[in-house]
Amino acid sequence: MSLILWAKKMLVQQIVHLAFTSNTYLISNKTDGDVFLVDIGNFKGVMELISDIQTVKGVFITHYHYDHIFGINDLIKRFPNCGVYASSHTIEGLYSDKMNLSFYHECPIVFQGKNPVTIKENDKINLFEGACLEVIETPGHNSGCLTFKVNNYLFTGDSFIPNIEVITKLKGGDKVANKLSLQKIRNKIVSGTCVCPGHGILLEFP
Amino acid sequence: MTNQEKITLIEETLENDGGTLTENTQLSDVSEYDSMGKLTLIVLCDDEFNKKLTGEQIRNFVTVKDVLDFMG
Repeated sequence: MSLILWAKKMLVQQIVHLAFTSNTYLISNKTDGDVFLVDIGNFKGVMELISDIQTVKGVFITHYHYDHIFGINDLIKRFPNCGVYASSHTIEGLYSDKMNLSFYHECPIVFQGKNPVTIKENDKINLFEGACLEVIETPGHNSGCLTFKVNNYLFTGDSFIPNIEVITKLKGGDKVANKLSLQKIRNKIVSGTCVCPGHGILLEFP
Repeated sequence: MTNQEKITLIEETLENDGGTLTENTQLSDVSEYDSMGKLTLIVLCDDEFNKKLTGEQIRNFVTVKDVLDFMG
């Protein structure tokens, strides 16, 4: 299942993992073959959307829980040069099936790739012309959680899901940090902002 | 670890208000014992008691005492 949104030269597509209900987002433009992802829960869904000439150049991970990284090994097997960008804590969890909780679902996921890139607050990464990704640290759901801002899109992972209370009781969760992060996210929302959460539907603010 | 200490640990894990659980509490009456709560309990048993809790075992839990007995 996918939803397509165009904004200026940027295309954002939502891909839902039906079993986990987690969202993967595909960011691309009209002229370039490069594609970027936010989370990689559903690799098969990504492959159904991209053409043969397109390459996944990078994936930005909001946090390490298994439902957001389920397809990561298939991704790097198919696109070995794909950059994997995440917080240092999330990178630690990519290599631990107990931290990312996949161990407890009897589908262990241990990242097979090397050299993931550590990103942190205020880092800015140029995706393509007219699209720069800004990194916002939003701990709470998990201490390594990141939110990504690209133009008017805000990819919030599980740090902010409209109308759903943020879950902080999983290991690494922090209620106090979550409260501060929610305020930080709200400060980024202006008229026209489209919130792309880790689960559920996109929400455009009028 | 005493049973009361284990109960406190369960309350902290489930983010349940402290002091509300007893050995006889029915898990079906604990609102925080939802799918996410069960997952946190599985992680707790592995981390603190080195015991792997299966889906079938967790489905057979009726009261808090069943969880305590599993923890050992």
